[in-house]
Amino acid sequence: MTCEAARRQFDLYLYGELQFGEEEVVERHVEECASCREELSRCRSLHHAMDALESVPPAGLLQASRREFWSRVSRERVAPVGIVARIWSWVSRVTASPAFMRPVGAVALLAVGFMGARAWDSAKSKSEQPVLHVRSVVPDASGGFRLVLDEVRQRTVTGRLDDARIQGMILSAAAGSTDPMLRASSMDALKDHCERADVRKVLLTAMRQDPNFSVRLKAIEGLKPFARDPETRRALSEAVLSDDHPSVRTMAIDLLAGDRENAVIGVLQELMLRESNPDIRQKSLKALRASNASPSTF
Amino acid sequence: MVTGKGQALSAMMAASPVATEEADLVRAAQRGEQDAFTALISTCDQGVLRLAHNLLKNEQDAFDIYQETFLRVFRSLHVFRFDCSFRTWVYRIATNLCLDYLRKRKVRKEESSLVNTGQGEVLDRTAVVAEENPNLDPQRSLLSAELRDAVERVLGELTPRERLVFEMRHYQGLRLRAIGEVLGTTEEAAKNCLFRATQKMRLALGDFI
Ligand SMILES: [Zn+2]
Repeated sequence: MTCEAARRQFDLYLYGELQFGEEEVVERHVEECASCREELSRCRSLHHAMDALESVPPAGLLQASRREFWSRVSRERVAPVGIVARIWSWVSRVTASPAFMRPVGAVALLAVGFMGARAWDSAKSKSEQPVLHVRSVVPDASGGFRLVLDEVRQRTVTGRLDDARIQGMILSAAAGSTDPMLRASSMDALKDHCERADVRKVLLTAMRQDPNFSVRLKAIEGLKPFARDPETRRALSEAVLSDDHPSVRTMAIDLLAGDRENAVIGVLQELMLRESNPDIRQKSLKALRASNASPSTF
Repeated sequence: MVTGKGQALSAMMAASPVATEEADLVRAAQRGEQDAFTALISTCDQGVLRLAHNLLKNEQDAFDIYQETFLRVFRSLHVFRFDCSFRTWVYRIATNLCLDYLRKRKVRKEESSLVNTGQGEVLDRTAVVAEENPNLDPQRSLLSAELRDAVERVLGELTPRERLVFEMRHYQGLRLRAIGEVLGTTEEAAKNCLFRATQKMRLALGDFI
């Protein structure tokens, strides 16, 4: 191997990109040739000099980029809620169905898609850290400190749901606990009482916002007897189009299906445009056929 | 030299248990499972940001490349067909965006940022700005200012493709085969590109070392 041929290989050699045999030839030449040895070591220094020139992104840029990305994604995901509102408002103007007579603007839409729910989740997980109430900090003789803490004692209460105190606690556990198991069991406790507006409100909110899909499923289950209620149908429509969990979308379709209302047909037609899960597409198609509607857009 | 890092990264790009796990994550994300999507992105978003930042030497551009890359990933994940690894696919999107930026910048630079100092020297304003950026790695100060200037200059003189191949091989530690895959070309073409880049650098920097 000539010196020139050896030197042409130095960079690839340093990057470990030479074939086993090629590497062997370069190494043998360098062993025997002092001037190429020197050249290789200059080459190596140059590589090190380049290493030092890497500009590392400033601290915080990755976090900021991730935050912005998820917020953009959530805006894309939330878009279906706007579509539900459009379908609903159009229907309420063109149909005389009394169920849709109430103006759309009167119903506040909770524009929370799955990423919104996620943000909610992460905000909550912060508060999941045990909160210690420190009442006083006093230095002691050994050089340490004596802290007095206020701690909450565990207590058990029992009662029926018609007890306002019990009911209030279950409602607040269902809506505000950081523990998904507790929220789910609270949904179970509430599900036979959805004739009450405050119970329904908690179930609807959970269905739209709870970050845990099993809790959302329980909320939908609890709302079953009220599946004909316009507000419930609207929340179900939002779930069909924007919930990130296929089981939730499936269950929501089940509750909406068989309904020949134009709004529901519109939602299912919209779903056909965006749904990629084949089972759900099939289900939606079946529901549309059952309503003698076409799968194309309403 | 970043050989160790390089091998780890290219191992991730090759078919391996890691790749199978990745494919499972992709399928879950395609079904709409959000945790899977988050996990997938976190396997490569730091690399994409580093690539864009080192290549473009600018926080805002790196931030923009990050957004554009992952929004495209999000919007088209359902059409991802496993012809290559997820990571390669993401890098393909990111490098195409970076190439666009570099090409646009080259045009802009040719139009406006070359300043004649009047002493037969031409300064590149973008290089001067990069130089003044206090966020750049403090390690840089260990190098002589002269060498640093020379390196900035020669990096600016590489074609966008040469710059990209050099960046991925030298700083990201990707194997040439993976780089070829990312750029939609052969390993041989990537090798030639790298060869040209390093030759140019050796020619320009030979006096410093
Ligand atoms: Zn020699």
